[in-house]
Amino acid sequence: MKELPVNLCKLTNLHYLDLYGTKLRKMPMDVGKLKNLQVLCLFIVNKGSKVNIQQLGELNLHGALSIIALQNIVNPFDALAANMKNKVHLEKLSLSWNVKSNNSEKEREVLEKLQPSKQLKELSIFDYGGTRFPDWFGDNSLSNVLFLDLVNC
Amino acid sequence: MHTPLNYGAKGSKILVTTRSKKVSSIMRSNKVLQLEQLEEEHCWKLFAKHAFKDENSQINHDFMDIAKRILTKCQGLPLALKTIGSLLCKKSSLVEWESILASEIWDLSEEESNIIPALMLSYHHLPSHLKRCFSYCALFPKNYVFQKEELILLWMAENFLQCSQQSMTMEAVGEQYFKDLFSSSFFQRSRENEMHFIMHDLLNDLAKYVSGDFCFTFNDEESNHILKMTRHFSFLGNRNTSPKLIETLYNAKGLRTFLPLNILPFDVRWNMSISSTSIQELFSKFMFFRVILLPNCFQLEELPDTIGNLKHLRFLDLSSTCIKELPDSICSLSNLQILKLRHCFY
Repeated sequence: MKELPVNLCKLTNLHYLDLYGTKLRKMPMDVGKLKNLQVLCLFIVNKGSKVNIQQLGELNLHGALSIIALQNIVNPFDALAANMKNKVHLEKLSLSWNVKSNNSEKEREVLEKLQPSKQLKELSIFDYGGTRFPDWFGDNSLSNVLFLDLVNC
Repeated sequence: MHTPLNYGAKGSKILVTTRSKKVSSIMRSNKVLQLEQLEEEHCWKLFAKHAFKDENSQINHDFMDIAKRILTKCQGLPLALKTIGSLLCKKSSLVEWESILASEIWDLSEEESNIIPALMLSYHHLPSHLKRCFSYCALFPKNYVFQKEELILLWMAENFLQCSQQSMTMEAVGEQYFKDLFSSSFFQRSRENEMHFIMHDLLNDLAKYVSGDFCFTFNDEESNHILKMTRHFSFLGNRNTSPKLIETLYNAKGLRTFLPLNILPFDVRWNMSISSTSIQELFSKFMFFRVILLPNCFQLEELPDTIGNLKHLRFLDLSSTCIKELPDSICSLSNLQILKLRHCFY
């Protein structure tokens, strides 16, 4: 599965959308409009698109979420708008950059602004290009994390 | 069954537990231990553990009297004691206890329904929304291991969850229902993994009894036919499915649920062998599907456009199929709540 129908986001009753492990290259537009969504296992940051990771902001997600292609975030403030810190029902979070960028400053800012909620239990980070981890790694933000996986960081 | 047992080390013992005398004679065991009913004292302990929130507190004489009389009706059967105890725990007044003792259900002949009266009585006292959710589990084969989340999604898709408060999500309502059934001893935790659940097989019998012909499980060995009124259909997906599988369903035009189940451990990959023609028929011959699960169906490469006609569809699982794209008509399924495309990596 490489692409989804354009109008998929008309399905406003969706509570559960699992796209994990597919070959999708981009997210359908307007995922943020699926106001009933409780589980979204995969989110891809689209390249050069205006509506992007900030779509996650309104969603109150549960369970596990994997965000991939974080290198496509242009403005780190978009990451802040994803509102990860308030997703208190999210238990597992995976953040992947896919391509290690040279702009370590920007990547660090992005990760800084993706600070998860204190309720998080599992955190995985892949291919993070920053030269150091943001401050929330050191304070007690991760106090409930039982599993931490840092791969190729 | 004897063959694999020939290789055990010397002195190894095999313990077979059964409720059937026939099984013990087939096993040609050299020692048969007949399990007796629980002794009165143990009966009381087990019962009290479930019936009283605080076992050590002083129990009112009147309650004690009724409890003892109910206990004798359980005939020393642990499951009955546990279930009836859980039921009484939720009833706080003496009148309620008395009415349970006086229930006619105790006098129902067990031969007729094959259901233990104490279990039937517990079911009878469930609120109707839980009755529905429990009897739906008749779709599960005996000893089926299931996950809470999976069952809640199914309940949601069948529209069994009633949201009375706006502020509560359907998932939270489902959690509550599950908790209620679990605390009433209708479900229990699996011994191998505490995230997994099972139903005691006598409770599975109860679910099958109360759901009657609404639920139907396909079983190659039996030649029973699905009835017109059947709404929910399940079968073992990892077995070689008979080419006649879909044909057997034709009679039940109002079918809502197509549920393949897997009795292999969760981490074992399995393939559901069901032909693509069968799947095309599934999407075109029935109008009222709410739940269609086709995970691990490697033969499935394409979804027909006709899927757009299934206006009531709420749960579609196409995980690990070979589907490359979805037809646009899927966007008209305005009731769709759950769409699983996990590992569709073609």
